[in-house]
Amino acid sequence: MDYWSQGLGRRSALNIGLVREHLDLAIEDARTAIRTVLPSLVARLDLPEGEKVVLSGETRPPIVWRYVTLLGADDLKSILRLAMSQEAVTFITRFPGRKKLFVKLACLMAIFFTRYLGAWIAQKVTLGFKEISVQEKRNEGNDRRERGVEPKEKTEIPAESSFPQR
Amino acid sequence: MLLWSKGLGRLLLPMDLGKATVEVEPDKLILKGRIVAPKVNWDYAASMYEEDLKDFLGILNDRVVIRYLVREEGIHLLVQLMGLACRFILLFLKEGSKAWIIGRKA
Repeated sequence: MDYWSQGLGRRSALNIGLVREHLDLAIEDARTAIRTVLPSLVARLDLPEGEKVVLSGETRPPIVWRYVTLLGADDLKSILRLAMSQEAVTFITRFPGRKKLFVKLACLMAIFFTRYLGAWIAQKVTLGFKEISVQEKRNEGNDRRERGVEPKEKTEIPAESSFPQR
Repeated sequence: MLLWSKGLGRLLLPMDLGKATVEVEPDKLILKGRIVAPKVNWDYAASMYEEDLKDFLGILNDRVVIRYLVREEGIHLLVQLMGLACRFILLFLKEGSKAWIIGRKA
């Protein structure tokens, strides 16, 4: 991706590679991520709350600079919407030899949907198990109270072992 | 989206990708917008080539990113994206058939 903004002045665009293997990717709090590059300014910056996707790496030559990008869920959604927009369709269809690109993008999107669904189910199952175990503990407590059985006291382990010393 | 790079020094650039305009060129998609922050009122342009679209979807397919999105958005995002994907396929078929008809006439 070529990135250009007025602030770059006479410099040409920054070439930011998006190959997963060449990037550092983490989910971090914005402050933690920025602390690594601007430690003295973190307290003064108005940074968004919550975790973000942090992409960091170095831009490609001719200008090699370290960069950090913070992407929230809304940013990722905007990019996904762009990838499936009318403009993207025009980009793919208007020019010859792009059917392969369409197939590749469709495959990647299918993988995304499958993994997303899998991750959602896994999350639900994990949460479900947690809720079930909490409920079971509550039920156990209620049963004991109903039966008038007091919870067992913790057995203390003697400081010195009762086993004969050699 | 927030961007920091070494050349920016003490500046962090906020970019609202949802408000960016998109232009189509033969070899790239260009996102254009404005960065408005204290001391900054700049235009920006990000050009995305074929490879970048694939690479970016590669990043989105990372399990860490997917788990993050599931945590933040739940199943609603998947439903929304399914709708967008159906629309995308229909548009592709429509545009593709148009291009095919023009090609036949030529």
